[in-house]
Amino acid sequence: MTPTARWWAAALAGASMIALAVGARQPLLLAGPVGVSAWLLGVGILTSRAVTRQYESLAVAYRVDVTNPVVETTATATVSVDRPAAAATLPVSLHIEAPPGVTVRDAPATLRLSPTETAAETTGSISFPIAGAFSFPQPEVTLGDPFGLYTQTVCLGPSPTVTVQERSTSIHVGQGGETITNAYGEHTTARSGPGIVPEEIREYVPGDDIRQVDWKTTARLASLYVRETEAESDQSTQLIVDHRSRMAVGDPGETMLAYARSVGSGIVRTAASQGDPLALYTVGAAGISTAIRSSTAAQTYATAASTLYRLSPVGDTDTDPSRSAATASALADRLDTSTTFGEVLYPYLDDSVSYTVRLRADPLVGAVQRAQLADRTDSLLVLITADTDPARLTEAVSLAISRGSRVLVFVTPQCLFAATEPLDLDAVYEQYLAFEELRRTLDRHPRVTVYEVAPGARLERLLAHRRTQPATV
Amino acid sequence: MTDRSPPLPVAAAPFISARARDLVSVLGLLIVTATLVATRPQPLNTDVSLSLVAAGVLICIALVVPAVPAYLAGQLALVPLFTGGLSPAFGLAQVGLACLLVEPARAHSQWRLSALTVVIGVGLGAALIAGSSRGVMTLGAVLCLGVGVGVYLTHRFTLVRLDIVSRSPSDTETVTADHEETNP
Repeated sequence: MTPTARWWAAALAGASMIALAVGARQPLLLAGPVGVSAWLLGVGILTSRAVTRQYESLAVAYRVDVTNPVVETTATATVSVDRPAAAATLPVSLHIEAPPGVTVRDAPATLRLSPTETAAETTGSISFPIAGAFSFPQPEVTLGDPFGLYTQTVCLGPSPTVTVQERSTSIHVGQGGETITNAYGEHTTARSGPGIVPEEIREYVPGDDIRQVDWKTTARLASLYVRETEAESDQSTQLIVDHRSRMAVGDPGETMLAYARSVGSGIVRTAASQGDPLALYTVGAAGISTAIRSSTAAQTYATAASTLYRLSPVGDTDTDPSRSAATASALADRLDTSTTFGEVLYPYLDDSVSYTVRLRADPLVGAVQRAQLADRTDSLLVLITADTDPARLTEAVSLAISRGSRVLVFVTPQCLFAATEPLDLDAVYEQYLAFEELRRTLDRHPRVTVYEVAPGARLERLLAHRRTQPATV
Repeated sequence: MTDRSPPLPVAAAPFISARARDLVSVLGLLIVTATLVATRPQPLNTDVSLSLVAAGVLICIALVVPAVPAYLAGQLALVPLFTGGLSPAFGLAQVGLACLLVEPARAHSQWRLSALTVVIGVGLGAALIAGSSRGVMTLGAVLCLGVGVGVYLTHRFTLVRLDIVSRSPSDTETVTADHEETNP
């Protein structure tokens, strides 16, 4: 048991009187401290017994109800304390703490029982912003005496455990429903040069570097032979990611932009691990919102990754090119949105994206054009966008291949994101067929490879439905 | 136990209240007053008069403040007028003040606490009287030490009963060392 402030105040008063008795040499003054000491000790002894009994009779229940424990879901936490009426003699308070990584939204952290109350309960909502196994600490129960002189804290009750899984995005990258494992990664060159991968052994010709001579073969064949190795090259990659409002289609956390971001992040990681030069262009409603110049610096990869992480869908509204994002935001703040005038004008001013380059033509086509002007022609151009505007997409790809680039296109089929449950699988399949036709048309060119990026579970369901009911379509 | 322990729902009475005393406590203070008046030193000179006035003021204060300060105020009121040391009248006044001291226990109908407080008080008082030849400072120090030891023992005893005794690091090391010796 721990003495409280009230205990210390009483003890201090008694000690002061002892000091007075010593100063005045008056033993009778010790009668006061004797009484105070008797009171403090008496309360302590009886509280010790009462606390033990209370501890045995208290029933603390603590449970966390969550049906689908995945990231960002909300759960209900309920804590209750109960005791028999005969045991309702001491004040009790109960303190609950959430483990790190769990956000408590509106649950009070403390429950209190006055000496006459027998039960109390509180319910609140909590959420799990991250995945992992969370063990909730036992509630801390503080017991005390009715005079406020001593307290005792003990841990009592269950310690619920919740295992939160990552939200299953089950990303599918492939062609015609077939998943591919490596769309972008290691690459070879078609020419010889300095490197470590052996290519061929040929006879020495004047001008060859003496260090290339393969001495074992030379000894065996009695004439000079050199070993050729495959040249190592850096594949310059230009990544263009569309984040216009059309990419916002889909459930929260599973939008087309979220999938595009995943693919883009994977490409950035691969480029970083290969040491390939990487440039990034993000396409907003009115042009290129971010442009990162091609480089192999670690900072470039980090900046590209963080840029992709921060990407959010931007509106297709046309804004005044002479106005900065800060000015637009300030103007929007000044608008009174309760009036019709303010309500109409607000979306035009609330565009907080600062554009690097504003383009009069289609932003995606313009971004491809810019990327090709900025880099050499034999680089790999990676385009991540939606199939919302097939004509513009075809135009962008045509422009890319016209300069001799190899093009890798990742397209999110809108039909697989926009459909809401319950799915009309036949209708969605019709739309998916149209998308597949577009994908094949684009993929026909030898320098173009087009992949679909979609929710794996939904696509699998769609194709399974097609397999079981082929006659319905 | 910890600083983050939430406050308990304990009623916090105002420090000064006209209704601070119950009937028994008022009766106890009346006993103290009567004892003071009856045993006042004679003749009634200025010093005695001043002591009586001071005692009156302290008893008035004891009527409106919480039990422990009221009890100490009553003790302060007694001392200047009891120059002759321990006497039956002083004992009677102590009974009146004891009624005041255990007033919170009475309010919660904790008769056992009242009895225990009186028993401990009598015990401590007897111990101090027995050792009165040691001097006031020694007696005061022993009293402080007694309370400290008593409260600490109560604390440890509670931990044992609740089965939450924490093992100190040195104990853990000893146990680990013993375990390693027996199970290499």
